[in-house]
Amino acid sequence: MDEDLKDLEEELANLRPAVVQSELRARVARRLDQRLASNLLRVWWTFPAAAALAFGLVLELRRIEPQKSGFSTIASVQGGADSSGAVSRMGNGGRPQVEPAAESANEFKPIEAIDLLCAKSDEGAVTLEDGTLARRTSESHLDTIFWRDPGSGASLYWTVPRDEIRVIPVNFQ
Amino acid sequence: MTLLRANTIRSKTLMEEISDHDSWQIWFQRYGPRLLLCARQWTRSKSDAEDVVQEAFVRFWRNQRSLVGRGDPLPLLITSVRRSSIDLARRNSRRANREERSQDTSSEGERFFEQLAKDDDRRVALESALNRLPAEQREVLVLKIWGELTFDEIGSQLGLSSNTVASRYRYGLAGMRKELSTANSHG
Repeated sequence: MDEDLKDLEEELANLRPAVVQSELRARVARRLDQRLASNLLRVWWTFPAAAALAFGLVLELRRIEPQKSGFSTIASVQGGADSSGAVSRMGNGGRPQVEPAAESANEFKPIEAIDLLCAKSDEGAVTLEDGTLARRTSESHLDTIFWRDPGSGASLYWTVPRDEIRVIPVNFQ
Repeated sequence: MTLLRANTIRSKTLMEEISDHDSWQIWFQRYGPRLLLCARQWTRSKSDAEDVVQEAFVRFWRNQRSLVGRGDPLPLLITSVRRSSIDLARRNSRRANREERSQDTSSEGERFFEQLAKDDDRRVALESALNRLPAEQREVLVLKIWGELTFDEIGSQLGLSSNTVASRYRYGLAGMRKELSTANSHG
């Protein structure tokens, strides 16, 4: 990049985005407060409801064969196509999307997976046990998987951190 | 580029200082303006962008904050903002079937950046040149400079290769430079 562009880049970096209006801050505060208040009101009956839901889930999981369960479908999100018939593909925005197995008996089906690369670093050269020279890189990802129940329209998601370390042999040819 | 890296380091240092702090206001004060600027790239109006930032920030604060730990929260926050923007766009497109809606991109008198104490004309010129860029170049510039994302991270967000992102970034800067020099020669 030439000097002119670097100067322009620095000039832009010195511009500060406009501050958020107090009205928006107040709205966020209200939403966060609402959550706290409603949690306190809800908490007394959520435990029995959660216990009933967990019990139902355990019964359901016992009924379903392991290879047809949602867990094998999740594995397919990370590893591509699998024997259960789930196929991962690149969707809009480069995010892999999942077509759940048709035979799955679970109500909630995985519909989308996002792999976000949060940090990446090159840790330099390392020597392997056999004396081979290699380069070690480290990546921190956040994997988010979205589930939806087509019947009720309810959805949920979870986000899991994942560290990936790669050792790549160096070839001088 | 050095300046951008310095900004990122500052951002991480601040995060380490406040990571144990329980107050969301500090986070919002720090990241809110940048999130709003990013959200504005993916929404039709300022009020839509504010709705998106509110939804994304509340979701982040409730469910995802602990995942970041002492790391930089901006990539996750921006992902959350983008997702909320896409959701809103879907809802709006459904609504647009029922009601005619203008495709405005910037509200009258809307200002994206803080006024400069001296030479605010330059800020106006930069902002105007930025707004005239094609949306895909402007989006990359905003995510890189004010979102402090790397080309790889932007590529992940937008589903593009980092080479394409880097090209758009360079074309965007070159386009702005051309726009600014044309404005100078006329003014």
